[in-house]
Amino acid sequence: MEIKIALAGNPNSGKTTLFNILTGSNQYVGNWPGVTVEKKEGKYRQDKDVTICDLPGIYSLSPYTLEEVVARDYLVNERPDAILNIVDGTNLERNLYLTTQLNELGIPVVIAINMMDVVEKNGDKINIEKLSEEIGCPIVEISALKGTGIDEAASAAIKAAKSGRKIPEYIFSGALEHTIAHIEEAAVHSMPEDEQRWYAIKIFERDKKVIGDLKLDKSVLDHIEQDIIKIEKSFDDDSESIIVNERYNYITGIVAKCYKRRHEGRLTVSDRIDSIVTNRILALPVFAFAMFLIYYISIGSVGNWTVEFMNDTLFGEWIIPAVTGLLTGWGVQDWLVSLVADGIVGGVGAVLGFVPQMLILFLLLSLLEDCGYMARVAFIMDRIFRKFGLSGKSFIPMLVATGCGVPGIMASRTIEQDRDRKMTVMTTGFIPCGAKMPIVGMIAGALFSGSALIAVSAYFFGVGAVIVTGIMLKKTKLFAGNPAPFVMELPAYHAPVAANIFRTTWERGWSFIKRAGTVILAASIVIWVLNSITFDSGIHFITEDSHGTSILEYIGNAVAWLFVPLGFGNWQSAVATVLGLMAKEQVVGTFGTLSSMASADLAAQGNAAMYSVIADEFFGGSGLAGFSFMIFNLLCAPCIAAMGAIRREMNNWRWTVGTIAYMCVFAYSVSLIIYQLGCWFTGAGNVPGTIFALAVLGVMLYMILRKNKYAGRTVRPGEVK
Amino acid sequence: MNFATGAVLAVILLILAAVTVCQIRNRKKGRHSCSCGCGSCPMKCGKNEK
Repeated sequence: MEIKIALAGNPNSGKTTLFNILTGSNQYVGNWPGVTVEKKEGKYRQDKDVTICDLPGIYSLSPYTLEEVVARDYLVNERPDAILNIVDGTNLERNLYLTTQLNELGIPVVIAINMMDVVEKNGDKINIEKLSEEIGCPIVEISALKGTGIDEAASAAIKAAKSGRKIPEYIFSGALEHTIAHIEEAAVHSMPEDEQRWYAIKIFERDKKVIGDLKLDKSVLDHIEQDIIKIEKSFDDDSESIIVNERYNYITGIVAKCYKRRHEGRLTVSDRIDSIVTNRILALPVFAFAMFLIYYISIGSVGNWTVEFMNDTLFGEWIIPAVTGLLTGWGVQDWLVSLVADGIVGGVGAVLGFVPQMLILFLLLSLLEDCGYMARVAFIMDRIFRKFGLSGKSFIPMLVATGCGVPGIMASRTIEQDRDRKMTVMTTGFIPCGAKMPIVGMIAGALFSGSALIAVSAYFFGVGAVIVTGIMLKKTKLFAGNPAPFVMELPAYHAPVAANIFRTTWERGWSFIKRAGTVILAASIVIWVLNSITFDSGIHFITEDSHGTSILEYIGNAVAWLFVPLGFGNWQSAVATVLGLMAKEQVVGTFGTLSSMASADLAAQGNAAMYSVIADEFFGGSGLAGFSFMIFNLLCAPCIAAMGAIRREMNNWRWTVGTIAYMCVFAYSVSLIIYQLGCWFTGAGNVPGTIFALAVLGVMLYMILRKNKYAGRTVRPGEVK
Repeated sequence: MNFATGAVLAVILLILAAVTVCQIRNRKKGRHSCSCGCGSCPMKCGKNEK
């Protein structure tokens, strides 16, 4: 017998953690609300006839947010055989609000009270038997993090599913129940009995979607409306608020009987930590320090040693000499040895050299995410973003984008307001993703002695670009309007779970390695071929005896002039930048191949030699040019996959092209200002370049500082198409 | 071109062909090779689809 069980609960209550344990799946778990946007299905490990569906976290079954629409549509239309309602035991009152609505669906509900270990640690007590009796459904204690009580919860849900449908119980006061019964009789009497109550309550709340779907006669609706108006007068409130209040009255009564708090009103450990990390004055310095520390460790100190080991020892001393020796020993011709050593190992090796650095960075970011700090950062950023026209909800996609821009861009779909969502899609790509970090590591290593400040500046330049874009665009007609309020539940801090941390870190790192072994490998071969062949005096390989300008050099020079004002107008940097649009790792891969080909045996000489070629030959020893190159590549159009995500989210070619064009123009402007004004400050500037940069800076400042004639405009969702 | 050169070249061409075929097949299946590495990747990287 096929059984379908839905996992439903409030955001960040542990549904996905539970889903992963039940199905043996590997869905991404984040310690902030809104990680799951779409429903996910999987088979129960212990019984393949049981399908488990992980629904997005919701607070109610009202269709106000995308998550609520997805969850409600599934529950109402698909009608699973049972609902496993995950309830956060530390927040019983608010979580039971959804439970009351799930119970109305007529589908058997089993409550899994999660985080019981935290409840017990706080010294609080929940009388499970009493609670189960009051609510009228089985309750199982679980700890999704520790994996306790999981199979008991699944067994209870399967048992409930087999027991069949259930008629919902009455929980409201007499007058209201009387009206609901009247609506059931008048409008939904022909439906199965177990489904009538939910529809009747929705009709009472004047839920337009439900009323539209039911296609009720006008006479019936008018009749019902009279009843609703009568009870609204009697309660002196609107129908929706009456239901909300009645639900909370019911829940308050239950909680008073079943929940005993040890220290009423005492600050928890999370509250005490929050008093510092979300403090109005200290919050930003704490965040800046945390990010500095992360980048200092992952890129600056420990990360630097790992890159040196990878490039100097692993590739320089072991792999390249071994490969070269082996191929030469077999009698392979020199040009093919060069293709393998300089092209493939040089290109792929340059990217793989950054893998340990990436793993450390992902590990540290996962630690901050899992313990609950990153959720606070969204809250902190809301205060800042709000001043510039964005809400903290826009920061959630940016948190996701530190791993990869693609899911970051997709995560923006939870933002209800069309204009804010579009702006978030336009700006999420500014945040340096994992694939961009090797560019940062390479520039920092080659031109700034591995300084962590370069990596930190890359992150804050990304956040700065988001803020500046927010300020500029919010003053235009297309994006004008106040941001929507941002309400977010801050999860309690907990010790990071090793399994979560290592799984996230490994999966992100493994994807990085896979890309190096596929796309980057293929591109490295193509780059080597294009850089080894010339059309000068007929097509032929470039050798020591037969010189010429390579095809790649011709291609690079065709676009390099564009980057002259930015300080990196050489063909190598131009090729790397253009190929970076395929995959951002390719920027480093290209430099790896080209620097290996620049001089014999360079790849075998290790990191310092490669960095010296990059610094001297590609950037003329100018740190400013390197920094400008890094900023341009971080802020300009993202990779093809991310552009595809922008296209899907915008669902409009004009917006997609506009977004990519905006990112390129913005990146060009910022790099121009950095390079030209930097040169001017250091006494190496030129008059036309400085004037050009000042003009661009002037335009940007005007866009930032000009009066907002749309300030205070009322927000109308869906106004901008 | 000697045998060793031909053999190594053949291996490289095979790898190139395999990478190209995989990329095209993934694209046809609607999968995309983003580097997020997360199980719930909305780009349907092909991981964790049960």
